[in-house]
Amino acid sequence: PGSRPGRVSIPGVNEEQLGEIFEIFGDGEEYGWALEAEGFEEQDDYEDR
Amino acid sequence: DAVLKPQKKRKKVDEDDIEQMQDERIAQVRDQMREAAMKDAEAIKEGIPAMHKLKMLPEVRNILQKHSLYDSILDNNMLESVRLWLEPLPDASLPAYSIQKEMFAALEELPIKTVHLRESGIGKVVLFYQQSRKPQVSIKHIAEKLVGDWSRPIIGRNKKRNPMLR
Repeated sequence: PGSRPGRVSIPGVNEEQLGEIFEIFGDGEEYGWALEAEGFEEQDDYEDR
Repeated sequence: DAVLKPQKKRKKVDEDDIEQMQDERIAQVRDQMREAAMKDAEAIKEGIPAMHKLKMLPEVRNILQKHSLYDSILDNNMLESVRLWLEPLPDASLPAYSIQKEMFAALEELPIKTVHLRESGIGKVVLFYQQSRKPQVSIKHIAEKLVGDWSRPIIGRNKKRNPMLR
């Protein structure tokens, strides 16, 4: 599974700790839609100029 | 002694009563906050101004600023409602700056532990504020600091076990 948080590696941080970090901060899915919308808004602003 | 004992017992009962009343009040406000967040989201979908959270803000600020209520706030997962208040609205806009300011000020002060982060999901929305380009710089700085503060106990554990990683 490519999107498994455990696949990410940070030097000095083991898989268990990474799992906890993802549990607390999420994997970016929760509010990804809002960040994506920001990108579209900026694109619209650029095209309006 | 016989006269004093019942008084001592009564005092203990009073303390428990106060604690229980505090818990009930916090749980009530937590639920009202949740409802206000839902109503604001609905308002935005219908194209009308979202005012429910703003109307409730003075009351919420008053509670979040009381040190004596910190335990009750954390024990009753009021942080989950703080998360709902900070979430982007359905049109991807952020809640009013006054809401962001008060919620982040509280997050800086509350003695939040990993267990509270797990049950509330507050870390997810704080990370969003760190990543988003919309919040004001002051808010983004607080978000960045909180992400660091909340990650450190988890990552630090490894360093304590393995001095080579210090």
